[in-house]
This record gives sequence, C-alpha cells and structure tokens, in this order.
Amino acid sequence: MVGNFLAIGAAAFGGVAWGILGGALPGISPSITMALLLPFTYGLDSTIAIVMLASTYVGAEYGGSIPAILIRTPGTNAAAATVIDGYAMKQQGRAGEALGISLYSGFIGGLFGLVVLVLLTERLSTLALAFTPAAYFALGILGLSVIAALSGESLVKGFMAGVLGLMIATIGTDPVTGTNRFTFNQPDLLSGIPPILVMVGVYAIAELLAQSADTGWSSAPPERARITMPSPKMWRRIALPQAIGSVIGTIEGVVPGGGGTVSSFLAYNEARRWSRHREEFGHGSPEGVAAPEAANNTVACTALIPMLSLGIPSSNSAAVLLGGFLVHGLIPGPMLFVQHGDVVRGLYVGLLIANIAMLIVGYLIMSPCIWVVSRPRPYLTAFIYALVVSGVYSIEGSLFHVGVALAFGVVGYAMRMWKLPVLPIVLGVVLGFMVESNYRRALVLSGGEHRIFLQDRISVVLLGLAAVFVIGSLVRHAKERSKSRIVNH
Amino acid sequence: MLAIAAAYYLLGTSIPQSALDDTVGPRGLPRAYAIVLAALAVVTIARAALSRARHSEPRAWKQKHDTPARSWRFVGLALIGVAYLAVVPWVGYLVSIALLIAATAWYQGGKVTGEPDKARSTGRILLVAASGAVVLWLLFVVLLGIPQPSGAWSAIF
Repeated sequence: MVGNFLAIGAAAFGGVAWGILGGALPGISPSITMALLLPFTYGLDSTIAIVMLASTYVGAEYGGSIPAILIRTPGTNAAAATVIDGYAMKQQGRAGEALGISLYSGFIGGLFGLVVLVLLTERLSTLALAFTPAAYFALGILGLSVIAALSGESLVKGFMAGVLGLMIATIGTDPVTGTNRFTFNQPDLLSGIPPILVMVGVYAIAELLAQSADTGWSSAPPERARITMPSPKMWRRIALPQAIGSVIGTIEGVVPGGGGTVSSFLAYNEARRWSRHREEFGHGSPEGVAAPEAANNTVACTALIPMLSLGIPSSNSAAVLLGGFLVHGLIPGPMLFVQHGDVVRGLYVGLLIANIAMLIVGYLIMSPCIWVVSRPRPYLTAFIYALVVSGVYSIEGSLFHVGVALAFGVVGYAMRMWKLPVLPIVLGVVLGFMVESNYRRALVLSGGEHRIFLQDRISVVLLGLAAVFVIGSLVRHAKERSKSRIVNH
Repeated sequence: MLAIAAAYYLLGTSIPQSALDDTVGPRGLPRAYAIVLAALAVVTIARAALSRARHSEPRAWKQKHDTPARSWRFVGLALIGVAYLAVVPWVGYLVSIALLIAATAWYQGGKVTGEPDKARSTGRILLVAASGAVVLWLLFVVLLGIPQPSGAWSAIF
C-alpha cells in the first residue's frame, strides 16, 4: 500500500517534471510531450503509467507559460494568452512574479478540475452495466462525431481524415471471423497497427519533420528568473480571475473541441471584463496571467471526464492518454470503473499529487528548464528524434514498428501540408475496432436487423447526441462560410 | 484521396471469405469506408473546381499564401530515420543512435549562413552524439531494463 503510494507519487513527480520541460519547449505541445513519453510507459505498471502520462499533461500546461513569459514564445498553444500580460510583466522586471502567479493559478485550476473530475466521472460511469453491443457501437459513433467539432476550417477534410483512421483500424485480424485483412502476409501486421505508433508518428515525428525546415544554430537567449510566489494581497486580487478561469476550463474541458487554447482566451477575455483594473490588461496585468493559466490547468483534469467515463477523447492530449490506456489493455469507458477501479482511483491520487508536485517541481526545475530551452535547435531536434526511435522500439522490440511510426510521421507531415486535421485520424484508429466489432456483434444478435440500434435506449440517446453534434457543426460551418462570403464580397 | 480509396477498395476485394462470415463480413466495412472516402474526395475536388471557377485569381493568391511553407527538407530527416533502421541490425544501438544524432544535428545545422563563428562544428557534433548515445543507452538499457538492438557483431563476439 505504502509502496504503491510512493510509486504513484514518484510517477506524478516524474511526469510533471517531464511535462514542464516538454511544455517549455516551443513547438512541443502537451500531446507531443505525452506521445514522447508513451513508449517508456509500456513496461510500467498500468496505474503508474497512466499517472505519469496524466501528470505530464498537468506539467506541460504550466510549462508552456515559462517561455511565454520569458521569451514571448508560448511553449504550448494554450499559453498564447499568457504571452500578452506575462511578457509585459517580464519587461517591467516582474518575470518572477508572473511565473509565480502562473504556477499558483495553475495549481488552483488543477485542483478545481480534479474535484469536478472526481464528482462527475463516477456518476457518468454508472451507466456501465447497461451497455449492450448496440450501445457500444453508438458510443463509438458519438466519439467519432467529435470529428465534426475538431475539423477546423473544413468538415469534409476532417471526415476524410477520420475515415482514413477507420481504414487503418481494419488492418489485421478481423474481429468476428478471424480472417486476415490488409496484412500482405506480414506477421507484424496480424495484430493490426497499434494506435500508439500512429500517435507518435502524426504528433511527435511529424512535428520534427515540420521543424526540419527551420535550420540554423539559433537558440533562445538564456534568461535568468526566480519564481516569486504571490503575496496575500495579490492572492485576493487574482482570486476572481482564477475562479473565472476554473469555471471556463471546466466547461471547455468537457465539451469536445474546446481544449486549453479556447478556454485560456475565453478566460482572459472574461477576466478583463470583470476586472477593476481593466486598463492594466495588455500592459502587465497579474489577472491577465492568472485567468488563462487557471483555465488551461483546469482543462488538463476536466478533459479526462468524457475520456474516462465514455471513452471519448475530447482533445489531442486526451487522445494520447487514451492510447496509454489501450497500451496497457485498459478500455476507457463504461466498464473501466467496474473492471479497473483501482487504476481510476490511482489516477485521482496521482493527479492530486501532480498538482502539488507542480508547485515544487515548477520552482526547482526553472533553471534546468531555461538551460534546455536555450540549447541550439539542431541538438534538441537530434536528441528528441533519437528518443522517439528508441522509445518506439522499446514497445515490442520491433524495428518494423519504428518503420511504421516513421511512415506515419511522413503521413502526419503531409496532412499538415494539406491542412488535414490530425485528431480525426487518431480517433478513427482508436475507435475503429470498437465501432466495427460492436456493430457486427449487434447485427449477429439481431439476426441482421438494423432496428436493434433503435430499440436499445442508450443507443438511441447516443446516436441522437451524435446526430445533434454533427448537424450543429454543419450549421455552424455553413454560417461561418456565408459570413466569410459576405465579407469577401 | 481518390486513389487511396480506389486502392483500398481493390485490396478489400481480395479479403478471403470464411464459413464463419456474418451478414456484414470482413469485407463489409472496408468497402463502405472506401466508398465514403471516395465520395468525400469527389466533394473536395468539386468544391475546389467550383471555387477556382468563381474567383480564379484572388483564390489562387489566397491559397498560395494560406498554405504552410512547403519544404522538402523533411525528406532528408525522414531518410536519416530510414538509414538508422538499415544500420542498427548490423552495428547495434549505441553506434547507430550516435550516428542518428550526429546526422540529424549536422543536417539541421547545415544551412548556416552569415555568421562564420556559428557554423557547424564537427567536433562538437561528434561529442554531443557520443554523449547523447551513452545517455540514451544508460536510460533504456541500464535504468529501464529495456533491451535495444545489439547488432550483428554480438553474434560474432
């Protein structure tokens, strides 16, 4: 018991440290930081591995604010809102204060998100025992409907990427008859393409390939900063923006497609609207740092609610965490709480420790973090590349897997060039097996009658939600297109 | 995308049938996916053609400037990964990962212009590559206990 607690604590501290470091590297998003860690977790105990990945997410959300404040470069997309006032504070010689506010606000947001996570997730999971194959199929479709919200400019491109993911999921042994599909007599393909390879490829390797265009020995100028924790007076001042950030982070975390970036900008805007010192925003307002940082750290916990309870990843980072669950044979969704309640409870404890660890590690890691961030780019790229290929090989000791991950890196790079969103392909790969196997099982049970999907109440509700979601996104896209047409004319 | 859909559909037709086949069968969903992808590709092509016909010049300009900067340098970096895959079964992890680090660092620093004092230094690259390889080997093999490829010479010695 004590040994397990210590192991969870160590995983939380390690994950947070890695997350802060990864988040602090411009261009390396929380999902990429997690994807880089994913292969390392393969040999670990499942609870420890999941805690480490989730703690990385928590750490990366704070880490992104370090270069945002110090060198005006957000380490993560979600830290973009922090640049506005964080860098202005740094220019006024208040970098330490800004970092302290960022760290403390992230801690508050993370704790709030954790409470919401514990309260909501368990309740949603009580539906677990009522799920039939038809309901599971509908759940998979609901998960895929997230694509509609995450497709960016073009819904069609999002759906195309999603279908590509579903196609990749059909490689390997057929889930019902055991027939080999698209295996080309390759024994390595019999068990299909593990989602982890797709994730490492399209996130981590594609990012390295994209950065290959950026050559030269340039590095960020080394900065010196010491974190100063906020005074009691400052605590009172930033309490309201922290509350605003936490509430917005909760809503955006649960809603698919929301995520840290949207929530930080919304929180910044709302904090400005409710502030007594509105004129300071944009010129070094502590509230302008507190609100977005509280919001994006709340999202790091609340984004896990739909992922844990329904198996639906609402963001890239949640999708990578879902990959971590799958690597360890854990199926997030209704049955997780029944079969692996210990892992979920371990995750809650781990997240609590991770948020506390963030305060300690965030303070201690500042100097090494700044040192790493200011290394020349070619060395950083080379080391990360070596880390990725070594990590992928570690999963099953297979060079074939390294080749597959490299191939998906090129696919991910091509998708960026053609402006195809990446998350739909990951969703397709992750949910493809669940959708196909349960669709066919349901039809076997009903003797080939599709009515079974309309006779199961959970299935009807989930399919209805998916339809509302897709139609809503179609309407929103249509409105945006007509607006842009009017502007163009 | 249309080509991918067609190739996938054709490959799907070669999936063997089984006595255990259900109503959908192992070919069912792959065929459906291929058809949906082809339909989406046709919609994209049609929309692009219509848009080009409507506003040819401004659109072309917009597309040119909206698309991320294309660079073929990614091919070089990907090929370094492929070379690693070709070399590692022969020379083993420690040497090949050092080569990968050295090649990547050299490749990424290969276009330095202007400041001669910042031009790439072979000695520095080799030092970083060697120390990076040792750090990774210690991390994976010693600390985590995960074996990495030992290479052909492990069979000789």
